[in-house]
Amino acid sequence: MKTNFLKSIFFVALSTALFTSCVNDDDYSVPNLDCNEPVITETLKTVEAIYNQATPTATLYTGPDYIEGHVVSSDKGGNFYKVIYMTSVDGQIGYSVAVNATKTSNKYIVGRKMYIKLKGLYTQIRNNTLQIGALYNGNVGQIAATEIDKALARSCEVFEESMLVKEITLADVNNSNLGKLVELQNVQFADDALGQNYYNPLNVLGGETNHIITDATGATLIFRTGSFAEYGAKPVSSKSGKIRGVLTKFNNDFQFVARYFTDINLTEDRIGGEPTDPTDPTDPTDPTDPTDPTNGVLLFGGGDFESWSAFTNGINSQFGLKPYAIEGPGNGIGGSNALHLSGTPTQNDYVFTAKAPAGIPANATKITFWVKGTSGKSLSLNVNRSTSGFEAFNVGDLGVNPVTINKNSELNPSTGSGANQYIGVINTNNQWVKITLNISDMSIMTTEGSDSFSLKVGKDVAYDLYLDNFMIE
Amino acid sequence: MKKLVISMFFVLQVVFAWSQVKTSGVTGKVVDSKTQKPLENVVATIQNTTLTALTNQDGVFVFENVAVGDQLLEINSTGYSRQLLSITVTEGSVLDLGTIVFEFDITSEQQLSLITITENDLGDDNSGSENTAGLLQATRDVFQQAAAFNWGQARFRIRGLDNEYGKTMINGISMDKIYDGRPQYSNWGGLNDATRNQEFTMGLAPSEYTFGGALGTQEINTRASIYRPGSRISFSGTNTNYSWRTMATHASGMDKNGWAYVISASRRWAKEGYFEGTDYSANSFFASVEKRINDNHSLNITGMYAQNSRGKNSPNTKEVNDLAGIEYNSYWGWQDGKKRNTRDKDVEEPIFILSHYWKLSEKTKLNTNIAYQFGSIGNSRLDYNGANNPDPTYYRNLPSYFTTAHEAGQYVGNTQDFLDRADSTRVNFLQNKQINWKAIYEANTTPITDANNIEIGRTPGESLTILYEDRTDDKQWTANMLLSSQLSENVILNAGVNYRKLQSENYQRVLDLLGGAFYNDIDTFLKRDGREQSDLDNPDRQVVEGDKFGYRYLLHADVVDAFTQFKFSYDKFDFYLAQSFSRTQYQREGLYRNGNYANNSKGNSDKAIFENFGFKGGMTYKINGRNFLDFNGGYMTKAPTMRNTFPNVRLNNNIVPNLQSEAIVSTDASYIIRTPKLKAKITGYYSRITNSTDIGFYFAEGIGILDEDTNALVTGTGNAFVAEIVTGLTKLNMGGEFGIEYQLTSTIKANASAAYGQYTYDSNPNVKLNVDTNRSVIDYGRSTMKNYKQPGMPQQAYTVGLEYRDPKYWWIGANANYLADNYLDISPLLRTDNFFRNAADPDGFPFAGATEEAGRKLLKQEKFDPVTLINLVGGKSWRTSNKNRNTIGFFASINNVLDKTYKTGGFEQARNANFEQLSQDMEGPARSFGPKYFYGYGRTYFLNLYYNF
Repeated sequence: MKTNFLKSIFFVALSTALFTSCVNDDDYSVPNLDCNEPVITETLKTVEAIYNQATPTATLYTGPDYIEGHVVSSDKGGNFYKVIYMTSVDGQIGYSVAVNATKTSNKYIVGRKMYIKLKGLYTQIRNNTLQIGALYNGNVGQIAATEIDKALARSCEVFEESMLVKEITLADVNNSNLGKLVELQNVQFADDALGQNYYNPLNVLGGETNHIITDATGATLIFRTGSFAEYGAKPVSSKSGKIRGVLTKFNNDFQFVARYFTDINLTEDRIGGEPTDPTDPTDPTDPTDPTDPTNGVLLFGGGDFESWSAFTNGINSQFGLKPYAIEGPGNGIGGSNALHLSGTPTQNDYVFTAKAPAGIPANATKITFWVKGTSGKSLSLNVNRSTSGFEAFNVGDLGVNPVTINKNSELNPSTGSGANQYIGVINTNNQWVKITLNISDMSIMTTEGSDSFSLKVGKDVAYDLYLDNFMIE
Repeated sequence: MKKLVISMFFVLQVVFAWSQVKTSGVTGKVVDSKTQKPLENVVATIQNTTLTALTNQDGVFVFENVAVGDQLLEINSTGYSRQLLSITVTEGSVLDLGTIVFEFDITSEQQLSLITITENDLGDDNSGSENTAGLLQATRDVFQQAAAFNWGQARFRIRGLDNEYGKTMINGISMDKIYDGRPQYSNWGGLNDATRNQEFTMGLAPSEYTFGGALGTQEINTRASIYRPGSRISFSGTNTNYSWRTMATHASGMDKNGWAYVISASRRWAKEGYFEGTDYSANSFFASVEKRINDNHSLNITGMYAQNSRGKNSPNTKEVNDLAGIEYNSYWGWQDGKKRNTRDKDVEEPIFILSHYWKLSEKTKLNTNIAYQFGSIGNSRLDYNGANNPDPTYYRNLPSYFTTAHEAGQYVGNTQDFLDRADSTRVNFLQNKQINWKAIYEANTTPITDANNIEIGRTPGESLTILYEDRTDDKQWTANMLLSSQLSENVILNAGVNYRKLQSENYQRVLDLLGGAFYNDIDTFLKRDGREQSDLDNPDRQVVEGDKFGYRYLLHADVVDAFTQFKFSYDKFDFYLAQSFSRTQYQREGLYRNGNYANNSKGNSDKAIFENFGFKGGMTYKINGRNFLDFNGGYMTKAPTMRNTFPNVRLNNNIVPNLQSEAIVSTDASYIIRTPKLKAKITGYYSRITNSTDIGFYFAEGIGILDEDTNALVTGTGNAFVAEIVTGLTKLNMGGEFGIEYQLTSTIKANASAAYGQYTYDSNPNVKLNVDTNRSVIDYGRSTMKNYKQPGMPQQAYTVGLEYRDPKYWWIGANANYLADNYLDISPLLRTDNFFRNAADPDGFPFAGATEEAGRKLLKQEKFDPVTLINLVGGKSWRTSNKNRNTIGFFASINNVLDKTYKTGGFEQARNANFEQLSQDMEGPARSFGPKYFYGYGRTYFLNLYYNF
């Protein structure tokens, strides 16, 4: 036994000695990424010279020449595709190079100085812009993927973006700024654009959406967004401020193309105030005057939460108000006050039950209110019938788009009232979103002082929602 | 049905009367032929009875009650040649056979050289091996040996069945993963010495440990006292999936205090295996300790810990293989002077088994085992967000992208412009045919500039491409109880219950940010309106190394099964009956609230519950002592594997609609001859598996994807990541097997084996696609798969061989093999009506020219060329001393001596899934989305040096 045991120790030692033998481990050092300035043997030409030489006809460039420029566009945000805009080193001329390559934003990072070897490429002035590339159907087209590295060489010089961007106003939109990185000052989207997303599949021209940018003078400029833009599914901002991007032109139309969501820097109040009377019922942006009589009357006392005491007096005190439902001063629509749900309910709670105020129209067709924020489950609303019981309206998933909810046809068999459901996730992306309850097919409780409306939430998930302007019309 | 099954468990338990037969004793002593030392733990069996005995430390075995008359005594031990002795037992006197000289079987070295092709799985997911060669490691049958050692390299599968239909056990504990029903051979890879005590049963033949499946059972026994005491070290070199192997094993034998132990360790490694960039590193440890408490009770604990890490090789299209060679592997790239593989498979799942052996009486034994297995399987690959596909063989990087080009429906791939572009693409591919790690690192970093705006370094930025792994972390408890009882002289009862409880956590994990600072955890293929989020409860996450991301869920499984089996043996007949019942329950528990499936991704799924049963029976008719007829038949149902239960398991809680258990009918009949010189067996078999479900994942291009909102067909083509759900598939496997072995002279033995099978699909299953971009399951109706061949294995295989065994302890053998009728794996989606439907046509009419004839031509299943493989084996051993049984020896083999190149498998890419695109893809010299192929090894060798002492 003892010798056996010693033997086995010996084997284990022997075999483990062999175990240290070499194989690929999974540790690798970072490759050498030092930048080496390329050696260019061609002759430097100014962009101006090439611009002057180019014609509206695509022409093969034969001389052993090159030009320089700094990259200003980027396909990172998905709004530029297979084209790179550059600005001459003197900042005077913007031009484009078409390449059959995608995801080039890092290789040709904004600010990088590039050398473009012109021999074998075609140049053309199209839409008042110098375009460089290969020949395709008689015009300048993309340089083939395998040829790009032969034509484009990267310098080690990388400018900060601030050195390249030019601040302009809409009055400065002209041919001299084409192809350059510009930042439009004091602009906002025109009223028509509000309520749409930046990319709206129902509003496309040549596959992309044109919205209008305007300013205090009433000048306009087309703002163009493709379906692959990272911000395409976001709603158009109603604010004013700065927008950065590349000025381009198509036929006689100037078109402005932003690169990323961060290029749209609209943080100031809207010039001329929020648009009046949004006619579009699906407008997700702020309504004008929530108490505008054309929008109906408050569903219950304090339904706009401008007076917290009016609200607390208007609810059934027997049931009270859940502790996580608090006042949200200044957090309502347009800086008004709101109801704030902030917490994690432990039950499928009634947050509050409101009593019908005087003057509820008996033949009302809809109840509307606004929601902003996030929650792990959704909301369910009880609208009491004029007889007994209630209909349940289950909001379900809620994103940035307004929704209209019909009553849940499924009834709770024991009570005969509508069945509440809290399934769904709310994330309005910090926008106010309008919810409309379609009550045209029910008879609602209008007797003053009777319970008429309840807000319910699901349990065990966090709610961080602002609610405002409960109206009925 | 259930009642019937339960009643079957009891109804057969009638009381069997003890028959009164005159008996007598038999004894003998077994010694090693070289050393003349007694051999312990040799198994002696009286043929056609249930009597077995083990030799003790002095090499002596004793039978007490052997029926009077002529009997055959078999003496068997791992590593030694089996011996059959004719004995005559007379009443009243104990027959002493004296000293039986037992010859060391040098060919058993071959077992230890079965290069674990089984580890070289084809799949990309975390599933086990489909290959059956590992199952057959310890077989003695000439046909099965041919299947393992000669045909295994060409992915031959016994009876065309996947490992899912077999059972692999260690000490009766199932080693088949609940996820896919297949064993993970890596869990004991490299422990060949420690796992050589194996029992194999073919097909439905009865096993003492389980009811089994249609393919057969493999039981590995690790009880410490049954190992022959001694030590062994070996060192091997090969050029297959690894280069070197070292192994050391020591077995103590039972000491006088009732202790026995076995330890073993091995290491296998390769800087680069047979295929380019396939590094290999595996360490394995094994320990088993037994304590005999008293004559009736023993406890044994076994621990196994195998770490396995290996780089995988890519299947390639014909175009890529033509350009870059069949050893080409697109998965690796140079970094730091080393070939870094993007696709590593890492397996590390230790197993512990506690066993209790209880001899209730002379006739009855109860074996109880409890096992716990835990650990992880990870498969690495690159993920990219905002970067191009880093795969050098991405279809746009290949000449065929241009030579198959069409513009406005017209073929333009043969115009000069496109030919020029194809040519520059070809040159570019050959210069850049490996992963470009440097470009990835560069794209993950941003420049740092000095005061003059000159780049002086790089700083980590957003990682556009990362290395991550798909991880499965399993925790599984298994407990079983196996009862074996000699109810009467003629009847043996085996019964067992087995319970398995699995919790499997699955997720993506960041392995390497490749120079960047973080990675955005979103799906850029989906709309950025919340749907792109991996976890809405934790949106817009930036993940770093070690973080879980993408998807994360638990799978829970509870499986209980039980079987009873009665074996009857009489003079002329042996027969058996067995029945089983099982209950299987699966449940998914999502841990992320996926943005695309906000309502059914987090939390528990419904439970999928299956109740299954099986019956089987068989008979051996002994025409005389040398000729036998054998019949087996069975019917069983089988729960779908967990893999085929959840169609979109990574993202949501859906369960395959109308999911059903498989039903399996299987029969076989054999004629067997066993004489001292000639051994032969011929078998015919039939099995039919109905209601199969199979799920596959891929990126489909041009499948006529539906509009997101209306689910109406969108004009033009659509691309999408899809899960393909095939239900109602029937597989029909029938054929014949033949094996013969003849001792020409005392030193020369000839063998021949043949397998002729026909493995087809026998139904037109339903195909559904789960499309993430549409968040819906689309029913494509039936797929006309009936009469297509089942893929992945040669359906015909033949071998002839000769073996010379010199009395001076060396031997040499050669086999010539011919393997044919191996077919390409077909894509079910391509065989649906959708293939012909022109999505652009307002009435959904077929494409112009889409005739049945044209369709047949396009959809014809590819049959691979047959291949002839010549294999050589040989070995020699020497005794190092007269005083002990120490031997030193070597074993060598050369496979595929002629260095033939041949395909072992392949699959159709389902990307171009309609008639028009497939026709267009076929134009030009090379297909862009052609099938991808796996190749067998060329000429390989294996050399093993060993020292036994």
